[in-house]
Amino acid sequence: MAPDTRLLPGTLDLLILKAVSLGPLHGYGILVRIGQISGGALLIEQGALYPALFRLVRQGLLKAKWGISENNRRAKFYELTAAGRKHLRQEADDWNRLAAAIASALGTQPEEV
Amino acid sequence: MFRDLLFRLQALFRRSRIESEMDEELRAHIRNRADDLERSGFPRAEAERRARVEFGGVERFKQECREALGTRFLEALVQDVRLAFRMLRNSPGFALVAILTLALGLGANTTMFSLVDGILLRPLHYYDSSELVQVWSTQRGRAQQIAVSPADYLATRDRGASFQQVALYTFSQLVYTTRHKAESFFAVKTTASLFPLFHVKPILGRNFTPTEEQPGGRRVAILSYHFWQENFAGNRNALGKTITLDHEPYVIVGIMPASFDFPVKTNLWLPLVMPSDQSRVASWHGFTMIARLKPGVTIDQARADLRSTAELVTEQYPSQRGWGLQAVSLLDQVVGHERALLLALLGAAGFVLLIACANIAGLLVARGMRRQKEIAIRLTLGATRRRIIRLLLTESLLMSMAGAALGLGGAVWAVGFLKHAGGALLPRTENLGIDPRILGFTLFLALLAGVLAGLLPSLGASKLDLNVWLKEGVPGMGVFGHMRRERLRFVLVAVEVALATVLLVGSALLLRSFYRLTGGTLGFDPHNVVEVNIPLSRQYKSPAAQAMFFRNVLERVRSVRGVSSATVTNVPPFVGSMFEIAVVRGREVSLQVETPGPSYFRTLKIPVLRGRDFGPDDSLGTPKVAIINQTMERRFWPHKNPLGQEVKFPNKPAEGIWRIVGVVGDTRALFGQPVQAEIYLLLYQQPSDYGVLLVRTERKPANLLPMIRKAVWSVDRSQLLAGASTMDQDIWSDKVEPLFRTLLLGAYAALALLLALIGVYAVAAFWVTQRTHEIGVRLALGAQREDVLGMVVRQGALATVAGLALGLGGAWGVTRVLQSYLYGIRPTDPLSYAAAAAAILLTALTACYLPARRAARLDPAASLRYE
Repeated sequence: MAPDTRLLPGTLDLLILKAVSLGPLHGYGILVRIGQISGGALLIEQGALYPALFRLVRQGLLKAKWGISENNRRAKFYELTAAGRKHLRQEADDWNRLAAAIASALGTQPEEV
Repeated sequence: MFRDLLFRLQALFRRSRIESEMDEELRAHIRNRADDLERSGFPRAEAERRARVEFGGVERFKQECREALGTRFLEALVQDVRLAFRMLRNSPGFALVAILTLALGLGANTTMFSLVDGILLRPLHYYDSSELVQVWSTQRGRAQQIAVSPADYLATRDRGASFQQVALYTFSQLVYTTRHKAESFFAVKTTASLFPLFHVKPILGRNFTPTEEQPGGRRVAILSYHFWQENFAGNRNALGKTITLDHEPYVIVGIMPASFDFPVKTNLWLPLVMPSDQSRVASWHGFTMIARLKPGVTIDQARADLRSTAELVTEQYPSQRGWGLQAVSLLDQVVGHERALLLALLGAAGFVLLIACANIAGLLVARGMRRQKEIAIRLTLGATRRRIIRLLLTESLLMSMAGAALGLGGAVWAVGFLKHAGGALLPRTENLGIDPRILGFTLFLALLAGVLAGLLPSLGASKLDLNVWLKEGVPGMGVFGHMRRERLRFVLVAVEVALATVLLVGSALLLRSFYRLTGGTLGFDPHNVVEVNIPLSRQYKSPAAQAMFFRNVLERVRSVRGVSSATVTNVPPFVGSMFEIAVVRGREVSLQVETPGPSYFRTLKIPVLRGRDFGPDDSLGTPKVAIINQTMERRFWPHKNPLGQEVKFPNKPAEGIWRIVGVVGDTRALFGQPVQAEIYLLLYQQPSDYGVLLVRTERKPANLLPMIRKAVWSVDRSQLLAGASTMDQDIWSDKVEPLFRTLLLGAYAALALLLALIGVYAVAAFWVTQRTHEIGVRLALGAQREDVLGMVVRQGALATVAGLALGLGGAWGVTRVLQSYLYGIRPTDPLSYAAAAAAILLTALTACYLPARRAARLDPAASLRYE
């Protein structure tokens, strides 16, 4: 299942942080949430999610604890740490600025230069 | 950074839990996905299959997760250590040799470093000891340090430019008598400033007062702690009691703390009374000056200051023209003579370790060749080159750590032994011990040795060419790889041999020097001669009474069964020697003077060459007679008969002329001193209140000692005896220091030689193993066994000769550090070099011969099947 829209490098972390910022989620939940908030436009290779999660935990941006999922199964839930929240805000700002700049660059007409 | 490391470590130690949780998490994901798919209409089985496919390779992601956790590096380390451990266990012979070799090298270094640390590096245990200096006199044209005079002290003290405090002391031999015993030892006569200079106070009582330092002042003494414990059982009311020193009563006014016994194991301190005789104040160079630098003053500033002080002294006392003053830090003073030796020995220990490393490297190279197959498999299975190097390094580090543990055990024993046995020979041995600094040093060396020994071979091993191996189907590195490795081993063995050669030359030099020093004839026979010191009591004041006492004692002692002869003298050889100004043939000269009783030459078996011995008729009333040694005869009467000639002693109180009646053979007074012109004066014609009884016994002298004492006491029950020894002991104590040096360096050289032997043997043996097939072919084709023998020996001999040449050259440059310990030979002594070379060649030949013989005895048929 080839994704329609490939992820830019580094954006997976940002998406995960955003997904989790709305409330603690387990791995599969994060995947579903990213699908929802991107309107299904961004698809992620499922297994690739986990190395990213482990890395974010090690960097101290996420914390994980075991709990019970909605279907009554044991599951590992991820949530943002204070550092993670700060990191997300920063990254989101940077991203928006970059995206705006790129969009404006791409929207430029030849005669405007 | 730290948090990250902690995380990694936690991850490492909770690995099994993390693994199972990871498993559970991924499985939960797939199940959730399957649930979703099922809800969208797939049958359960199909939903689960799809979920798994969508997820992708579980193992791959798990591995990525582990990497994300950062446990991989440490995991690999643990794995390496386990693997290295298993490999060592699989070849216990190799591991044992390697670990023992390293243990020897590391133990040798730890031992030496703890000596250097305890003796040279640690500050002295005195208050702010870096400020302490010793001040010496110097005289133009003389290299050595000369004791200072009272005038030097007074001038230095009064100028006070660089020093906060100055003290002067001298040693004084005296006899301490109680009702039960007499003991002779050196006391320290010192100015009262000595104690404040060291910032010490008596634990009981007080320091000397200024009036006690004046001529005619009260006789007082301060005891050291151990002397107080020994003689007064630490009783506080010892204070104020009197003790008898040199037959005079002294009042005890103070007890020093146990930590203070300056200068060396002092029993007691007496006030130093300055000579009132003005002529001797400046010329009497018989004192030691200690000073404490003012804060911030350097030793160079103090030296400059002392130069102007010396000028002041010269101005005041013109007789002191040409004299100067010099300061040396107290630490340098205490350890000065041993410094070069200890550093040389540390260097020797370093050499031993390098040889050990070269040996291990050699063994690892050889093993690497045998392990090509294993390494090739690891490389094919995807191990990286770095990983292989790390694995091999881990192995050598594991061995070096085991070696360090073992070597440390050896060092603890060796340091304990040296502390016990070297106490009289090395300064500051009370400091010796293994402490954390030394542990750190050993650990550091072990790491260094492990890396050093492991790096070269593992670099080589990891360069294995897989293509060649796969194509040829045999584990081989191709011809070039082989040659490179053999060259590497050749170099390693040559280096080992070179280092061992340097050490051997050094020990050969010390050994030759030792024989030079102690060899040759003594001129007398010291065996089975017992010495008993007799400080005469005060009742024997007149020379007549003294002579009578000794006459009677000798008579009684000679009648003891087992005594073959007996005599008495003032200073026996190897105890000391006295020099006096004499007038011989109209010239004033300095002569060595000894005053023995009759039978002296017979008892010590010194031949009377001309004239006669002292006879029973020579006594206080008859003309004074003297006997001279051969050296004196040669010096003053080379072509004439000395018998009947006269010698005068202007400084002797009893004015008189001594007539020479005999010439005896030369005797040595101490090792390392040339025989001096010596004259013997009869004790009975000389006043002397101190005599040493010399008794020659038929058997071991120790058993007779009680009988001899009894014989003396049968003359005078109240006469005390001050210690006994044998002449052999005196001679031994003069020999033991150079012997100790020689043995210490010799031990390191022997170690080096042993390791080099192993190294050369390993090269030759490995060469034979590698070429079993080739040798078989040669033998089958008609090669003679001698040819094979020669071929193998040549292998080892080449490396040996190259190393030997290198080592002899190195020794030429290095052995001059031993200069000050050599007697009678130069550091370039050809015989020592030749002996070292012979020892190396012989050892190398032996090492090559065994494998060579094995090669020559190969059965061609069997060896062709060997591959």
